Amino acid sequence: MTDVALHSLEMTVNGEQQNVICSPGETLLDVLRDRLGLTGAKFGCGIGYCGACTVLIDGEVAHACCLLAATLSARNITTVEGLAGDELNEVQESFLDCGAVQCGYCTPGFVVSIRGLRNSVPEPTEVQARAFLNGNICRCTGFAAIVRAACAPINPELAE
Amino acid sequence: MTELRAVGHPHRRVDGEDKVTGRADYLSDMVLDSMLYGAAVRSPYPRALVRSIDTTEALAMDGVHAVVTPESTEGLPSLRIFADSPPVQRIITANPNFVGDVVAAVAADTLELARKAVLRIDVDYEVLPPILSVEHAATGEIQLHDAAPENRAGPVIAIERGDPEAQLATCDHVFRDSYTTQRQAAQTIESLVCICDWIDGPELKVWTHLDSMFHFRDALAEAVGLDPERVIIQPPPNLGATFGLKNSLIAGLEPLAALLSREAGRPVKLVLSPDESMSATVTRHPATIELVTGVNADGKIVARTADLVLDSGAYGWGYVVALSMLGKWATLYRCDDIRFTATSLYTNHVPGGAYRSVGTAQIHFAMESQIDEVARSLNLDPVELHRQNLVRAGDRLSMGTEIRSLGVDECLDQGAAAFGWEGPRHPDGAAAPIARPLDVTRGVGMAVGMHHSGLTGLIPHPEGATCTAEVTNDLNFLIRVGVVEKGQGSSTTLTLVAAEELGVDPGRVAVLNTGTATAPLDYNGAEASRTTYIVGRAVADAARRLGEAIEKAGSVAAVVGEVVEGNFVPDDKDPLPVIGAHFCEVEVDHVTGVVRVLRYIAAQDVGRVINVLGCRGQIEGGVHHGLGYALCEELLFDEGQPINSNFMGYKVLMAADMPEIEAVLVEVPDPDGGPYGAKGVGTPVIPAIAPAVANAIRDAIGARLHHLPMSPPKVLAAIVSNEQAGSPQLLG
Repeated sequence: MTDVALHSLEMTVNGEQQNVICSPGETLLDVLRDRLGLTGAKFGCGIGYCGACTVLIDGEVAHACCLLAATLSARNITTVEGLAGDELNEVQESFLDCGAVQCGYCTPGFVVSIRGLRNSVPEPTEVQARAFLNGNICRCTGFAAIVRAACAPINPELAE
Repeated sequence: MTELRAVGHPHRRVDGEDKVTGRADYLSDMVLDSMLYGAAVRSPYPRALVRSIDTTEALAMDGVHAVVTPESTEGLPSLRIFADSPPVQRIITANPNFVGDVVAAVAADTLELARKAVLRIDVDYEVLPPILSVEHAATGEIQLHDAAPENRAGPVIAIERGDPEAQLATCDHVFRDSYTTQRQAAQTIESLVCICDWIDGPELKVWTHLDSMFHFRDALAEAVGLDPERVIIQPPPNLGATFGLKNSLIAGLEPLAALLSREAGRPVKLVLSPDESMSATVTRHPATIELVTGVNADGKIVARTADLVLDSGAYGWGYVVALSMLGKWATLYRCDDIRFTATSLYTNHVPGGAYRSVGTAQIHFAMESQIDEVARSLNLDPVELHRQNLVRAGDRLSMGTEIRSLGVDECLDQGAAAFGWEGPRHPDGAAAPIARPLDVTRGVGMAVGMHHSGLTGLIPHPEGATCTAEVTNDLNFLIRVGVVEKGQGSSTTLTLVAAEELGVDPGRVAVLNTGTATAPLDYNGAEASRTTYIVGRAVADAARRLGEAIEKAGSVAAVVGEVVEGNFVPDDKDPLPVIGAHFCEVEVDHVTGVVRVLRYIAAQDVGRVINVLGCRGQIEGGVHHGLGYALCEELLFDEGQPINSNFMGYKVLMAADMPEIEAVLVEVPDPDGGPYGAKGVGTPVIPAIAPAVANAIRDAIGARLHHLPMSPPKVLAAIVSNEQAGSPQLLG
């Protein structure tokens, strides 16, 4: 287990500078969950399809299960834990009001993805939201309430 | 009824805030002190005999603490899923019967190490010829299980009433059609996990993906040779949803983790990979369905027969699936002369199991496709043909219960109105004219679906639930239940029911499940859309009694410490029937064969809405599974080898593939159904979906598809054969 050279790198995770020691084969998801104790991002498919592991890297959405941590030196990582302070952000509030959460295993990934969408398209349409969410799977909601939540603050009638 | 204050309004989930912030811990996040990780050696052959297993190298690895082999199961009984199922499955087998059957397993310090150790176990197999079709299984040339003569997975399920053959001879029209349905995999986002802690001597503690704690406790106790009281099932803090996949033990999960923990003397977490979760657990049972329906010229259904064969895979239980089918098949249309025969056979495929809407998904695809053809042949609007023949309140269910409430006309009316239904676009049966230059055609379709809420009369264990209610020291209210919150929202629903009965704000009510050692008994668990109905009634009963105790004592504070019990046992012989009417519009691409569902209206009789958000969410989520079943979801095998058991190969519908869904919540309360007349909603939404889509495709292309899923190659083939038959109408 320890017969490979370990990497040491600096990255910013949820606004905090972190020195991370990891092996060459460790994914960003491994590092977040196992070394930094941030278990909000989930392991789902392991091949970048389901999006349960979605995080933001320098504000852009990424599948943490498919990225080697050692390649992310000096990058700025945001996980679901970094989205909200003492209060929920507007995406999280919309998720609750729209019923976009059921089992919730995919929810952190969706919440982060929609945050990423809003970074580039602050007021997404339904079509934009559906297209953008092509890297996230939810088996519980039929995506309907999630899409309503993604568009909710600018289309409040969708949340009704 | 007086104004409802908590019930019937939109409420945020009680566990929602933890879930949107990532604070919610799931089973896969759980870590126990000194916990090891398990991994399984799985047969690469659909059928083989293990000649020998060499575990020397694996055991010698630093950090490997236990290896278990078929010998580790000596003295333990073969597993059976239900009390009347043939006992055919070993926890670890020397006679693997599908690709993925467990032949050995290891426990090691890390998951990575456990998976490496698996590769160091040398198994010598004698490869045997497999059974890869029900036709082959039926020949009896190969006998898979000693306990299952003629490869029968449980008894033949059959009924006959009246004289269908004689009546068919008198009908104006007789329709004979054959349909097949596929293996659908749950494709859970959280792969299956089980943690077992076999504490030397006293007990086995278990955290796992599950629908029902007490059923799991008893089944696991029998599987590993313990008294049920010594097995303690703990509900995990949160569970990724499993859609029926975990209605029962999976041999290669709970019992296997238990044996590893016993061997290692430490807790073991067995984590299936996404591939294992899909191909080495269970799938929906595939079915071959032959239907004969005789009708008179006026549309009256006169006689019906159904002959089915279910592929139970290596260890499934198709006879229970058939029982579920039979109840709805025999009831949905009024008809005195019927015959139903279903045989379930073992093959060397992944076992069949439970999947949301057991049995009714398969049978409705066939019977609601055929009824659409009947309507077309008679030039009738399918809505009117349904109206003429469908069961109504006052009729009897298959085991004799008189139906108290069934919103047949309400669902048809409200669904049709929401859709703007005016009948098929192309009722003459010709293909829709192709709109150049896009080469697409559109069509509309509808279907009715019936499923059950609760398990009354369907499985050996009687239906019913208990719970308790009490006032806490801080003068709030605690409801203790034995049902599992697996993502469906039962904690929120039950909170609202208790709050309504107590006349308090839902924020003052908590619903708690503390595991089998202390929780009130709820044997059948979160299955078959029974929680709101059965457990909801028990919760309403407990809350009402607590309210009475408070009134008698004069204050809430006066009853602190008093625990009040609530119960519900249905009087019926059948489970509660639940009906829905669905309408959709599709667009078919004649170049690619791709079907796009443009609009989907699901009118479901939910009896009474408890939480609008939960109710609508169950319907919208059900439409995702149903459309996937209709169009794309299929676990494929080549010579017994799974070939698409991963998220890339097993296609599910994504956000951009899903249509606009309108859930029409029809409220026709059942006076002796769930609280306030509520009925189950999660499973009953499924059965109408695949036939509604099939009927819309029929309308769009002028050809009928008989095989699920209706994937692009099949749609193209239907278009081509239809064109060869001479019905294309190309508009320039």
